[in-house]
Amino acid sequence: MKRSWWRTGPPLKHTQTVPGPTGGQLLRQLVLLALILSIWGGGLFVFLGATTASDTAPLAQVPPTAPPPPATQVATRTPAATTHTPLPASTATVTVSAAPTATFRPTTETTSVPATAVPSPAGDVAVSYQRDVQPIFDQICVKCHGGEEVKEGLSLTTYAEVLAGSNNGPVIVPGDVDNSFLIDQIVKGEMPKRGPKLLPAQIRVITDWVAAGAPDN
Amino acid sequence: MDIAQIINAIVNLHPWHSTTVHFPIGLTGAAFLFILLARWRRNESLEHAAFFVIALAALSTIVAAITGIRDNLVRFEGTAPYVTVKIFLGITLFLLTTSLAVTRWRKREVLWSPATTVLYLAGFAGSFLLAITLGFLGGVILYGI
Repeated sequence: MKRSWWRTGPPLKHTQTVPGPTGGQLLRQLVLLALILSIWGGGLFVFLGATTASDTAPLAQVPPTAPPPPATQVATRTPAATTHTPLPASTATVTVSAAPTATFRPTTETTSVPATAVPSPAGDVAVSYQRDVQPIFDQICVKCHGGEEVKEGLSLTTYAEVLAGSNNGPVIVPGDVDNSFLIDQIVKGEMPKRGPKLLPAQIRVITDWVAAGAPDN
Repeated sequence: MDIAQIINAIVNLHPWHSTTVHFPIGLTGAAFLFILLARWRRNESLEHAAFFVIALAALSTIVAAITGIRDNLVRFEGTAPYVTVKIFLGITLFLLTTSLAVTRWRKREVLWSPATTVLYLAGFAGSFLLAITLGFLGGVILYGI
């Protein structure tokens, strides 16, 4: 029978009588295996050591006072914004999902917000607590903080509760990102402990909101 | 729901990686099972099945890698957690599955030769372990730990 390219060909005659490896053969293969694993493990160690810093840099270097992303910028960058399929000009609205800057799990729930959000003096779009921040809390945080349970006494379901803080005191210091425990936790990735982590864009929104004085807007 | 919404959901909204990663996981697992059965039962047909399945696993690893890079850029702005570990493990998985497939292709008796059978079986086990480790890290990204 002609041997085909995948070499199935005629049956191997000896497979029914194939012996197991001898002690020496087994030892040689195990040593080779250990050698391969050692080299691979070393490579992994070196690779991770070289890249750990760059891995954590984006989260650690979130600028506390970075301007919020303009609506148009968000639209081109996040999956949520890609849902703003062209609408009739007369509606003058864009459709964004519940978390306008970065939806981890896109839902079909949409809300219409004005296409021209309130611009700041610098020309950027101001972060709105109701529009931008609370949806992130609702999506990511309230499962443990304000939903079925209120861990550490911290509820994030309303503006007043967010400012009230936890059993240990306020978690947000308006205008002071560096001393806001909530920001510290999400930037370090300590929170949320369960469920999807916050995306950089979501962290930026919350950070910008705190930096702006945590207004109830 | 119109066709534009469906296309938009597929192209822009839905993550692809979480779908495609199941192929390397399932295929490496199946290949490992087949190769164990083949060695145990001394069955050449099962060994053929393992060969084809591990070759398919190598191909599916490429697809998973491409969609993973895409999802990282689109959904995580290039800063997905554990991205470097996953890249390293993913490359290892691709190299391992490809090596297994090519080796078997070039050396038909690799499973039956006492001098190589342990290494060959370990390769299948390792590829499955790598795939489920990658899957676990993906689960950590999605659902935390």
